[in-house]
Amino acid sequence: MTLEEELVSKLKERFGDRILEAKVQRARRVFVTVDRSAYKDVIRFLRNDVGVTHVSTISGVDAIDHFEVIPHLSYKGIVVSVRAIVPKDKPEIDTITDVIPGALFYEKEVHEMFGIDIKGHPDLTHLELPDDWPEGLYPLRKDVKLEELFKRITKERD
Amino acid sequence: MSSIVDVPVGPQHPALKEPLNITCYVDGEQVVGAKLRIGYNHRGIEKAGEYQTFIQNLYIAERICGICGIVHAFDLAQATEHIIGKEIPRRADYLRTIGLELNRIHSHLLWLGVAAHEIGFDTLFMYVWRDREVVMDVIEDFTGNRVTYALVTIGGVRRDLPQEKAEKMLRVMDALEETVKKYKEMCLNEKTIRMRCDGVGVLRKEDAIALCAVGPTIRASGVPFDVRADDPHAAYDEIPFKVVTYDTCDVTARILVRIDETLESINIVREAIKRMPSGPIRARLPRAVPVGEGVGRTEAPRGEVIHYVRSNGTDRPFRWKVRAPTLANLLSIPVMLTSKGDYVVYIADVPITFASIDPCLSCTDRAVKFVDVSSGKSWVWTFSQIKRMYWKDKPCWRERP
Amino acid sequence: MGLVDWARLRSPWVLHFNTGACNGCDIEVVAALTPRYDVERFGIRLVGSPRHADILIVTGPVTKQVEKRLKRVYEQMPEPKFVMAVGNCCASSGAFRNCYNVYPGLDNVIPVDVYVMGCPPKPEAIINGVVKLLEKLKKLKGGAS
Repeated sequence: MTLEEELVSKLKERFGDRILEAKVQRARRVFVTVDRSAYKDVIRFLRNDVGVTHVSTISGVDAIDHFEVIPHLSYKGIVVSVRAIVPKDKPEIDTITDVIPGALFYEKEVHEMFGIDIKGHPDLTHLELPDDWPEGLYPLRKDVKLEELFKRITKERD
Repeated sequence: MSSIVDVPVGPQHPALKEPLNITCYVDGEQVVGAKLRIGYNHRGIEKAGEYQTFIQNLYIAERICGICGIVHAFDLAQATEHIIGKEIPRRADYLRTIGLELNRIHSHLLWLGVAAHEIGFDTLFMYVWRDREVVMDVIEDFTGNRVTYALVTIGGVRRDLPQEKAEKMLRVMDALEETVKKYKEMCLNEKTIRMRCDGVGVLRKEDAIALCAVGPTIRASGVPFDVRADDPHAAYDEIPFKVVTYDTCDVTARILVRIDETLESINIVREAIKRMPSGPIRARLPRAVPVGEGVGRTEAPRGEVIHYVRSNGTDRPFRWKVRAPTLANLLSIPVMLTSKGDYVVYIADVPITFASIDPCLSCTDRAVKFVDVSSGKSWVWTFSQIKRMYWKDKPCWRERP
Repeated sequence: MGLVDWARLRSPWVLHFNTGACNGCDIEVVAALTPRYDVERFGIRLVGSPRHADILIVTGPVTKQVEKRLKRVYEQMPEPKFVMAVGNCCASSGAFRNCYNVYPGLDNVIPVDVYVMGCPPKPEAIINGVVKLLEKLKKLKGGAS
């Protein structure tokens, strides 16, 4: 069994059907989809039981009918992407900074770009957006169009 | 323990024009804490990416960072190729490797000059940048441009390396190796450099791991984390090289890691030219990328770069996420700038500590806001003011054993 | 032509300001100072304060965050002052034309005297830009007096 397959089987063994999907795309690329309620437990398991210490980044995705929060973890060269499904009617998720402190900036970015509340995060002020950015305008959401964002810069575009 | 009182600085200081705001909390000459505010460089590339084709995004990717642009184009291409699921020609892997390593060499030399400038050694800065020009020539010869190469495309590379150019490259690498070895000797033996860098900007191994630092920053803290070795891509699976680590966790270690890596990169370029297979340099891949997701990753000069791509069957990405290495390393700056127990950070250490993570921000002067925790006073000094005050006419402003 | 004009013509002092650039243009501007190109032999000197500068060299697409600071730096420069826009991003937002946080060109924010095109322009092109600016200054002063 490859290391990737071993990882997948460990997760399935520990979490059963709280793992919605787990696949090995290719060498060193594992994609796991979990329910939001299992998200923090999965990260904790990976950190404490498997020994994964490095989070490369956290991608937020607006998948039209739901949001996704995907921390990409690095374990012995394998990128383990743990996708948590976040419903749009209640966009919030637990922080993982108490498990892996290095996730601090990445969670701030997901919050400011998508408007997903990160419960327990020590400081959700803007990371990259300016201080005078309008409240409630989350640039990477699909329903926010580029033209709308341009209006902040100039009255008319060529 | 005095309370920290933040007094507003007053009208905008003209030097506070940087992509980054640093606030240092001081108690006399000692720095007891630091805070960062980033974001002045935010352009909105990820949003723009959803409105442009994959090919167009390669060009904007390369301009995420002009110094290491090729790594971003490479990661985007790699993630997309993973989704498409086709392998690219082997020769293209080798050519990409040469592009990536030449980029590393130029970037590390650039940084060495900037670091020299930050410890008050402008002469060394001039020498290094003069010597770096031969690398820029070789890059221009190979890719057609000094900066922003447009070498990588989806499916391979756009330019080949003919025999005469490869031979010229080898000659330049040989000469460069001698030069870089001299710089290494200088950095090891020059008393002033050692006095200004030893024990400065310390990032302990446990902190580096907890804060998910990357690149030379974490390798100088003894952690052998290098994406080229852990997650082999391009031709790194076939070309032997050493992952350079040092374990003194300070600025000197970071200087030595980068110099040694430059020497390793010179070797990698030589090996890549020697072992390069013949064949096509590009596979024609479909413009419309099938539904799926991919993660592209490589080791930029500053550390791990990661791109996440999600496609929806069209020729535009549904989602494109980029994480450049400096963001990962910025978290470590407040830790490096906090005095704790025996570890004392002085104001004079601030410029070089900050520069030691090789931040991919503008190379110009930076302003730091200082807040004295006992008096509550605050003021702004630029890096060049700090250097003038502390380094001018003195090898080291404080005595060191 | 007065003494001050002659001095300004022979030895322009330059302030470099990055408005959110990728650093490509910045490293070529800095490279112009290094021994291979050595603009200092033309008397060109990089200064740290807008109050000492004759020429403002701007790189990068102007991001919304940096706009106020850029204007302030421009206002603090003493007359006569000149602005050189280096790189495609300054001329027209360049590669970032679909980015929501950048202006479509530096001249939307401050007046520009010389545009140096390229992505990034080579150091030779940047030096050429400064020379063109000096010619412009010469014509201006020559005509006026």
